[in-house]
Amino acid sequence: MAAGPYNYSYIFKYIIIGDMGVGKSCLLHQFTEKKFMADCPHTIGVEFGTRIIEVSGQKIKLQIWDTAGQERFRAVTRSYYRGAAGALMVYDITRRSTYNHLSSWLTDARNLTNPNTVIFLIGNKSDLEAQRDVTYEEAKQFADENECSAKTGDNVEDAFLDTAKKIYQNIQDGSLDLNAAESGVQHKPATPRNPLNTDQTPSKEGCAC
Amino acid sequence: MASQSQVLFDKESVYIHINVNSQTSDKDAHIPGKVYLIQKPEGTFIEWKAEEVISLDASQNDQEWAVIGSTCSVVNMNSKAEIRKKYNISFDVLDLKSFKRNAPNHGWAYIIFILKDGHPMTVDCLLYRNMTQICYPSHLMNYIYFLILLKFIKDPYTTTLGGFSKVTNFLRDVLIVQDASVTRPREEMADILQEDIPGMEISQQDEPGFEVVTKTKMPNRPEGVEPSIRVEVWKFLLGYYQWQSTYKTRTDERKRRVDDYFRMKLQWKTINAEQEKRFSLLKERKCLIEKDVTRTDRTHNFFEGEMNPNLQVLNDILMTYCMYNFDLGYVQGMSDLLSPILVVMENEVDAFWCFSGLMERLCTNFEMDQKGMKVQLSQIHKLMQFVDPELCNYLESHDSGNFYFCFRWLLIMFKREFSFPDVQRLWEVMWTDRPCKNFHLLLCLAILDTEKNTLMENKFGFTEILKHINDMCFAIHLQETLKKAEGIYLQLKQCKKLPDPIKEILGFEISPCSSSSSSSKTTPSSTPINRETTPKLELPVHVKENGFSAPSSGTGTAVTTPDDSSIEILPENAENGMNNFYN
Repeated sequence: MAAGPYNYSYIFKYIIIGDMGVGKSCLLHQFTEKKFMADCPHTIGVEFGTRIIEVSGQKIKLQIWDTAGQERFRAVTRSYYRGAAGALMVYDITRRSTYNHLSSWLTDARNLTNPNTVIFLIGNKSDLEAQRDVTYEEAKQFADENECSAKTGDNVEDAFLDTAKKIYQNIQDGSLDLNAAESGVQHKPATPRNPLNTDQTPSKEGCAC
Repeated sequence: MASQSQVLFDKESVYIHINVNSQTSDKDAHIPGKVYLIQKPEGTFIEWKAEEVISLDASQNDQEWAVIGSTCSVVNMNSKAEIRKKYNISFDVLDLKSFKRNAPNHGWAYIIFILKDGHPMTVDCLLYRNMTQICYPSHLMNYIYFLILLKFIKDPYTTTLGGFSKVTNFLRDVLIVQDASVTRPREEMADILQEDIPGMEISQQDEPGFEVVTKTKMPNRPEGVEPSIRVEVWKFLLGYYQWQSTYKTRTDERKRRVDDYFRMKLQWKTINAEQEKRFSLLKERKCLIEKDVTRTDRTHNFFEGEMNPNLQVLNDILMTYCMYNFDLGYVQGMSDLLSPILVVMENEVDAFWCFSGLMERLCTNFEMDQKGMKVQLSQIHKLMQFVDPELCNYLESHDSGNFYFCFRWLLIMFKREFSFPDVQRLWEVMWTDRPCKNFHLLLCLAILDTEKNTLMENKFGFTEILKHINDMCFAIHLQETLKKAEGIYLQLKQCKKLPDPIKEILGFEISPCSSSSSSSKTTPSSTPINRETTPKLELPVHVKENGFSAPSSGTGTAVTTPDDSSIEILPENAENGMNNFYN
């Protein structure tokens, strides 16, 4: 079997949303490159990132859509939610306004993705404890939350991986139908090398439904 | 290499190009290495390995990576080698979906590989990064030849006789390119034009109501402004100085503008912390600007480094613009527009007024309702329907009829797609409004025309189209694209039955006696016809007229009220397109 970056069984689509300046692109960069990039250019429209992870022995390719945060560009960014298996909703723990806007981001995430989409709340910039403006407890109440720092890399990995685990779990217990049009998950069976390889017939292997 | 593997072919000095998202990354953008064709038990692989640079005596072996400091250099080399190794490539030939050769420019030729990846969701190329190019000096033609043979041998199922002619053409192109000097003879241009706008040919065959211009001679494309006079020319182009002004009036005008600028700057500078507490809107904008300034073009030498004073200038101009146009305020993307202007002007006041001149042109892109963006996206759609219905249908039937994938192009006028010098040149061409109004929309069509085959042959869907266009930054050849856009312009200009909506977009005169059935609702607001403007071309133009069939009613109504051509109506069009597609 050929090694390398093309050997994986699933593709999950993620979308990262949240106010401008909360560090969405930095999170993505920290996750895909394992580096903090302070002067990461602000996103116009959408940027893409990918990384292959492993969940329960399965290689999963995450295709991550990083969106622009400013309110007036929402008309365009809303078109990118479709078919996301995971949505990472980010706020900045040092700026309360970004936390206050979460309900509107959540509404978009709920309305524009399918019911099984895993939504994960991320409080970013936890390295700036001194400037904290939103307590962990209140955010915890708001959702199943995980604070992290794109700068130090703390918990960033977990945020992406836990989301993937939950999606994978949904596949396993059958609540996420891979054949549904916009599940955000594509199954790519690792087929033996074969010149007559027929393209992507979605296999039901691993899907309990 | 493992013992069972056999190297069938190898070639040195093959570079990969990493499409990094920074502007001055030239150094690391091309990584030298060696390409191999390797027969392994599991299949035939194309591999590329970065050149080894581990030698301690780096200065002897590695001319390209010149060593400046002697002590730290070794560390640099090794870390560089590590970084480069990250990009090593290996893939099975059978995973190759398509490859694309770009015509050599700047002494480089490119091959872009697109792998199958077994599913329609991603467009993976060789690397980690999404789009990778293998570059090779243009004289290494046998390399290409080798790849073609490979395709034949390994892919007999899909290589048809039709493929043969493709390859012949391919080889012919390669040979022609090899022989030709950098500049193409002028007489070739008309033919290129013909070939390059396949939409025109297709329309001729498939659409009875189409008119085709067969020969058009390309005028000399202006090369933009000489960089040394750019600082003065831009002031005229952006309306800071009047064209009819004299040296004296300009000096006076500038003095007035300086005062005016500092008056406005003082307005926000003098707001103290107490006041700011109760001025949340200004405070919020200040915060947004600070955030964006620190991440605008930081790889450009004008803005790089900690505590770079130019960042403060960038900040102050944007803050002052907030006071100048408080209704608009600051919107993301503005810092992108200001940065090249500041680099050229190197003066806060001049940069401010040039920037506000540019914003006069582009402010509707940034308004809350995004009206300018919606209008432009639907204009691209209308133009595409006319110029290349085939591609238009394709995009519509692949969820891309709203042309959202052009969003970044339009919002900041291609600022993120080209290098700094190219952006400067592109902008000054646009600011002349020559050869026509909204020429940037034709530039969009030209780029999409270049990418048409890639999009359609790989059967790209919504995600792949978006991703492909997104990943094209720094991979668009400006000169060629401008030429092609002008080619489209000339053909439209010569088209006798151009529908009024198209004329409207490009600012062509709409003749009151137009026989086009689609134009019934146009208000005859334009000036009388000026016959002498039309036949300006040097060569006779052979026009085959079939009478133009009006586009679907949805677009026709937009003539009188361009405002209602909003993004929302596009999905309907997309559905129409889909219906047509399946009829």
